[in-house]
Amino acid sequence: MADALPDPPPAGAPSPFEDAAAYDALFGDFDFDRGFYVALARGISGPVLEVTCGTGRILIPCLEAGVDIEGVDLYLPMLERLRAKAAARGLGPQVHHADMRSFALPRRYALIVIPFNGFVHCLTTADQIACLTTCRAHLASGGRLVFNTIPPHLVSAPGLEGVPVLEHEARDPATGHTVRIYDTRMLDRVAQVQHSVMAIEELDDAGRVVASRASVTDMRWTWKPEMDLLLRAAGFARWTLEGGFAREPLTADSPLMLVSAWRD
Amino acid sequence: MVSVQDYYCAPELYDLIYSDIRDDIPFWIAEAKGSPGPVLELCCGTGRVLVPCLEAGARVEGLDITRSMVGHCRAKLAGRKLEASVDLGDMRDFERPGRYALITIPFNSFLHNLTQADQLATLARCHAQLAPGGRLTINIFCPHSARLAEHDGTPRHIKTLPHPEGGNVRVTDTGRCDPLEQRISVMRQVEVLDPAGRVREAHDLSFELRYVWKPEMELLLTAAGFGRFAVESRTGYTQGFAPKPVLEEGDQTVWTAWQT
Repeated sequence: MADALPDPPPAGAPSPFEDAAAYDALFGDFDFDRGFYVALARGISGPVLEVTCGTGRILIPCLEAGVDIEGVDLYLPMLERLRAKAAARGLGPQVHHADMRSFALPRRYALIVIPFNGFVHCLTTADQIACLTTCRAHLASGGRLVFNTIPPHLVSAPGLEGVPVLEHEARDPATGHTVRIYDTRMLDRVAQVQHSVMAIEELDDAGRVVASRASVTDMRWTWKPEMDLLLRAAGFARWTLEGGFAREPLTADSPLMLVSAWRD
Repeated sequence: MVSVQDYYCAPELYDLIYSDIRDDIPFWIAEAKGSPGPVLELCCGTGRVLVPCLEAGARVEGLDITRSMVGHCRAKLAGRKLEASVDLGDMRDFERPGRYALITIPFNSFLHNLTQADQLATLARCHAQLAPGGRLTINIFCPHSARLAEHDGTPRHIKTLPHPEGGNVRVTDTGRCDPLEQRISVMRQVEVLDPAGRVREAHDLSFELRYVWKPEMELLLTAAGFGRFAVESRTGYTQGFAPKPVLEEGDQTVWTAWQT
């Protein structure tokens, strides 16, 4: 099987989240979760914080809807792009360059969200608990943390390793080019970590690859009983685990795990 | 219609089908003999581990939840002129007068805690029954994704062992896995075959396990009050139960958790 494994990641390969333009070309219009998070934020009375806000795919529509929302992200290029996009719409967002495991902000929020699998970049149990504890400390009395994660069965099943998988394809509105992201995975099933070598390709109208960039990222998956223990360790008083944005029950085949955890 | 028995209500069958599982016994003897104080084995069953520990001179007490297993174990001790306290008890809520320097849960018995509440109750009880500086040692398997997927409702031949009175014992499992709650339900058929291969007896038994992932076990131990723990990886029960340098899925693991 060794020859089926991908090439080792290039030394010093960047994170895919350092290239905000490519990220937006791929995911800027991704809307499978946007309706859920925007509606959730609009329905809350009190300030909202989006952790791993990226280029503002969810934060900007929330601002446009009048939500009092701030953002946190680890990647400056993402935040710069978010600010530029918001400025073009006449908006001045409050976003903070900080780590989800250790951010410290003066306000307390009625709602904190971590959309689009942001939590899976906490790679160790210590990181996971630090993130959850930090979020809980930033919740106002009665406040709630809501996030979605990768269902383990979608990543840990046998046979998904060592071959490039087309994750997503989109048309870059800026260039008209097609942008594709391929993910070649190696799994550490004991540590529950997926190591991904990503290739982002840009294709011109004739289908020729005109640009290709390699990056690497890791993701940790979490099983349901483990999530219960993490939320308990972080001090949450109660929580629900659901299987979709329409509040479907969580099953072994759910496309995602939706966590809602209350501070009190 | 075949009646299905609880797995542990048939101690003679239990001993027959685990007669090949021996490689973990030297490990448990060393643990028990190396203990500076009293030892308690939870889920001691028919004494597969307890009896050799006593024969090697260790002082070990035993608890088991199943009356017929306790009776069978006591009879074995009497037959070998061994003395040890072996009592009926549930690992989730046992209460003993003394404190132990070592509590052990060999051979995946911890996985009979089928809910998280049961897992935490067992660990908290062990923590409370340990003397200061004492430790809990648990052997469970590290889940293996592909092997979990084999529990798909089709019968699988597990092993055929020689019967001490001639002929063979054949074990066939039909398992189902619930990956959300991490439960494996097994219908186990045990057939006693005569030397010509004809089925003399057939027994249908059932048992359930809740498997535990490594990061989850760390969280469980922490939640139960253990401040310090370590895990080591070992080969299987018929491959020497030997230490391995790297923990891989499917390995046997030995968790040690210190009371302080």
